[in-house]
Amino acid sequence: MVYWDNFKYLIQLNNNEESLYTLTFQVTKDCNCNCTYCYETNKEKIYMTEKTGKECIDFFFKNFLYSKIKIVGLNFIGGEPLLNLDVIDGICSYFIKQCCKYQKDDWLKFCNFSFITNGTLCNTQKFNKFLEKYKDFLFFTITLDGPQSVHDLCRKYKNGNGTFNDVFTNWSQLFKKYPECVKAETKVTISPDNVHQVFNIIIFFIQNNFKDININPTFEHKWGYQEAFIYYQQLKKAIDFIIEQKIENIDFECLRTDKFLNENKSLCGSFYNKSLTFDVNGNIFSCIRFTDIVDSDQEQYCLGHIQDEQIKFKSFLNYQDAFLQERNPKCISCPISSGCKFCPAYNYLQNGKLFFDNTNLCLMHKVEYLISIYYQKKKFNINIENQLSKEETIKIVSKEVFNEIYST
Amino acid sequence: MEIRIDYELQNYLLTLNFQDKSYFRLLKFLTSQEDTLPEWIDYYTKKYDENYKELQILEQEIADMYCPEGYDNTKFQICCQKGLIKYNGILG
Repeated sequence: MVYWDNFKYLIQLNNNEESLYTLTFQVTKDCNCNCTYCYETNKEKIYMTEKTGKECIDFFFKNFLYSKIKIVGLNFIGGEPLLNLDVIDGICSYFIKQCCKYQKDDWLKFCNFSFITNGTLCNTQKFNKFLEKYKDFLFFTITLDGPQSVHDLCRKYKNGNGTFNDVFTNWSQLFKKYPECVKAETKVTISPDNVHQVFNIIIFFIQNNFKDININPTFEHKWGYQEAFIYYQQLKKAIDFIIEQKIENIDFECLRTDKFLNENKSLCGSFYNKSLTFDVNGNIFSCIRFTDIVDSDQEQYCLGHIQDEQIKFKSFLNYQDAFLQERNPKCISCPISSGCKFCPAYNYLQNGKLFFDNTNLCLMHKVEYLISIYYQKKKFNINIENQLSKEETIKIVSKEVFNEIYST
Repeated sequence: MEIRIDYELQNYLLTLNFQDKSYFRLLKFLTSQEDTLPEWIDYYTKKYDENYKELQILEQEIADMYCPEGYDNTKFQICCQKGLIKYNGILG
């Protein structure tokens, strides 16, 4: 564990524009599952070849060899990335050897490989061999949505059967054997199908010693007041449980009030030109969501191809100008917009503008903000002034709860 | 006796410690691969050795710098994550 602890610490120390670069490889557009809420709606049986993967690395070396970038991480995505494990192996190995060839010592020191998998293919001999080879360089997340009744609602094989039994067995075994590689964290997607189960989901992860619980209401659904009320009740119940049971050391986004009040909006790496995504054919994007695995009427926001001499990097300054000009006026005046989840790719696919905020998540974000105030009051007896209007708060939490928690 | 190390020294220690582990993992990987060039192994073995020596020297310098009177400056443990040095032996 010491290696990755140090690694995170050193990344913080080096947290500047040159410090971190993520290369994402879409190694396949295929998946062995058929999850109900998956945003990748255009899956096909197409796989990246090892030759293309290596050419992507060559492209990066050609364009960034003399850059100030110190830290490079390789991320593998699908479909289900483990369907193309041989190519992942080939790319990782080639990257290390190219770094040796060009003596890119910083890249080697900080180099890390990662992926998020549905966890169904983690019990093969081939995967174990891969883990043994790269365990010092690798970390990955297995997506679990919660207890079986919740997980199997949305996460299914193509034949309709839930994946929970296989995934949980694989996760438990791998977590015991490779605790440094398998993250005890989860990214749960909340959809209208499972929003009423949020409490059960959180308890499941606490009981299974997950330390980092990320609950993400899906971008694709326009959330209404009724669902927001359910979400609030579920989170409140979970907070009460956490406090009553004196559960500590959990990194749970809703417990942090500060994230809602930062002056600077937190933006993903694709906004700052700190990531490149290569699709199966070697086309270059700033994020997987821009690739054609996601259905959209918009023209593809492609930066170029690995064979191009130059690609269309957008300058940071242009991005900032567009950010200021394009933003949704409703969001500019919102007092808690800084902590709101913001996805330029999703904005673009919906309305053709990278920075015109989509407001589908608006109410769920407000719920998380109100819950963070509730937590501070209940756990530490700290009263934080509610920045939302009385009318809006009552519509989300009910009049009784408003009078009890938010009226002071 | 536990003593807190200066923040900058702690960062320097963390860096060397991190490099020690990263060169080690790299050499472990390279030596297990059939197509590794011998000059890569030579180059990174040298880097690993240099870094290791620097780490040893730094640790001893820190131990000398913070050693309280009456304690043995050769018997210590450093936790670079917490930035603490612990002296385990009393002189005489």
